[in-house]
Amino acid sequence: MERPYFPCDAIPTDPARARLLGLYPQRQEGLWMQRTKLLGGRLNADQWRALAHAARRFTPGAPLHLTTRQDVELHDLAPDAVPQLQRALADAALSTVGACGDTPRNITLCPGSGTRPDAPDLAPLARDAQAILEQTAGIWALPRKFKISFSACPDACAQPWINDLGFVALRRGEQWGFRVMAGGSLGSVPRTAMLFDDFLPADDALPLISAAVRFFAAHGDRTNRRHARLRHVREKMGDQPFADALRRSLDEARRERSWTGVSFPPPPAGLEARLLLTFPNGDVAPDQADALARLADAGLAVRIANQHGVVVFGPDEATVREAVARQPTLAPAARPQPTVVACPGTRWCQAALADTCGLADRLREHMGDLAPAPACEPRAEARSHLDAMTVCISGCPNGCAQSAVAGVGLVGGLATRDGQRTEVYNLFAGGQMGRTPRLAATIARRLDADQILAAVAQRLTPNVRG
Amino acid sequence: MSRTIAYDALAPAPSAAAPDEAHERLLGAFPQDPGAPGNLIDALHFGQKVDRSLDLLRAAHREFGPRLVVANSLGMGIVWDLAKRVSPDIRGFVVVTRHSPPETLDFLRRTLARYPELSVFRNDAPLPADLWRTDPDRCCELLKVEPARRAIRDMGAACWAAGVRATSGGRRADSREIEKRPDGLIKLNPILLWHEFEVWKYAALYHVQVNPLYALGYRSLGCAPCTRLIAGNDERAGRWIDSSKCGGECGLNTKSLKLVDGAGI
Repeated sequence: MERPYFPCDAIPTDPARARLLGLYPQRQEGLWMQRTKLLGGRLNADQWRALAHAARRFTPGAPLHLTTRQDVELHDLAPDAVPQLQRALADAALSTVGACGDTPRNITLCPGSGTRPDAPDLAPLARDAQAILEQTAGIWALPRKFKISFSACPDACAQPWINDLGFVALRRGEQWGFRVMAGGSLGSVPRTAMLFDDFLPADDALPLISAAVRFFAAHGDRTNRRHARLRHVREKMGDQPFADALRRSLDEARRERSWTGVSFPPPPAGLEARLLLTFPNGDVAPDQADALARLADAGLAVRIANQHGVVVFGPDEATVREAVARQPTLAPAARPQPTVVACPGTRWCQAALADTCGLADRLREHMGDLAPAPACEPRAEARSHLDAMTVCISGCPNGCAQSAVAGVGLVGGLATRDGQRTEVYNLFAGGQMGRTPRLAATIARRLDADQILAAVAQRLTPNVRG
Repeated sequence: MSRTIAYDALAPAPSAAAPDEAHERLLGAFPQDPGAPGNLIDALHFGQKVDRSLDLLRAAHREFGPRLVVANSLGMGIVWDLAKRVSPDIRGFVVVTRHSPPETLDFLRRTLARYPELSVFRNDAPLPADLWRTDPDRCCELLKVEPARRAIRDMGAACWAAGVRATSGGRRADSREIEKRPDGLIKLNPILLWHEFEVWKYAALYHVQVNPLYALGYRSLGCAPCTRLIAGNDERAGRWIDSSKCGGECGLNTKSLKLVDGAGI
């Protein structure tokens, strides 16, 4: 399959090609979702403004939606508006190519990358990786999607353990390298990645990415989409044979061409302070996107995080807070609030079985004071505590809200109660990401709506959580 | 039979007020919703419910003084915690049985270490080992209600408080926050209006130590042979499964707690 033409003239009739352009039909007949692919969740002022403008023009009434892979989606899009929307995005140097479909998805990057001397800026490396991937034969028709993340310090905020390839930067003496995890994925049967290399020299990152995606193209199962991820290749081969085979592919990739050396220049000054803005259900109103653009105009870095947040970086806390305070539309997002992450659920998604956002709203209303997120993005010391207080709600077993690695995870389904089909949720708890991953354990199955608040509150109780 | 702490040894002199007069004054100071509690359950928010519960206990303490006691069920301990916020002098009692789960007994030890003023009552009289199976009503009567009656008598209580909630199932929805019982005692249900999630929210916010069995998924705790893990909406559906008492009451909250001479074992 060839690279899809962007911007398109019309929605491709082949669903696979539509997905490669980031287009999915919604559960509402005739309406579409358009996902943009934003490397590392980094947008400049013009791009925030372009998204705000596009939302007002093409999807009035629907907010911009932040995803857990640092993308932005537009919803309730009429099909005949798609070409115009894509042209508007292209004019702002935004792309939707490879935002969905069986291809490498958006490369995620911890928001703090390049803001501290011990957290190098990995965006240039991620851009190089994306360019190499897009030149790889067969990249638009892999057996399944392929996910890569880069974390700039050992806190590993870019969730390496649930990616096909996860890179965590670390330094040995004067040499930079990566701890590399491989073969993780969520979905209905989640599995965290295995440690592939404790210290891969930084120069080997691009060869490994090139090798891994071709290895995946060669070995991934193209007959069964449920067992088609790199993680399934790993499971089929066994961990050690998988690692050995991947390493042989890396050796071949090293030899087949000369690779540019990787260096991490010192990060620019002026990004030391950070403020986390939280957007419930990932909803960013166009006016809020305009306000984020004004923050970027003021020289602050405005980066999308992976749990419905946007992190604003600046030289010191007072400057950042004052700049945010000058944007009244951002006041709700700047208030400390619980981390409740919900996939779109029945609001938009065809696969959803449950109204995740409605439940998330109820949890915020009743449990907000139990699980307040910090005003600032947390460092490692507070991370495990906050992870335990994070509630992730998925509307179907695909688990797109990352319920399987949440402190408290809910996965929606349907059950028959008194002859009526009703929403129920399975409850999971104890999951975590960061330096050490842990899948959440099943706590209860098929909880009715009346039981969920109590069950979640119980799991947020430190004396029960342990 | 045994009891660990006698009322006479610790308690201040009981209030001279007659229960009837005290009850009237309590109702006057704390007007109740004339209808079923259902309206208020969703009308009040969490903070209002906590304040209301504290107000009720405060009014009762003002009215009954040392003759107000709290039944601590070794579950969540919310009412006990609320009472201690009202006054550290408020006394409480615990009923344990020969069938109490080991986790509950361990929790009792930790609870007593923190609150040595709690009195523990139990009935150790010889009984058929399988009475819980052959006659669960009689078993509850002897092992739970009878020690509670002694607690009320020995502690000189005229008013007692427990953690009944209207939404927890069965006939508890018919309860009132202030009840004048046929036995002449005033019964308080300070958290009657609370949802289950609000109980957990309080426990989290106020760092209340709770029975470790909740971490295993139990929602209503009792004696080991008669308490099971269950799914479903009814919080108390795991109690006395496979018996005529299924989802029901042990009797402590429903029967007369007036000890009649010669009754019991």
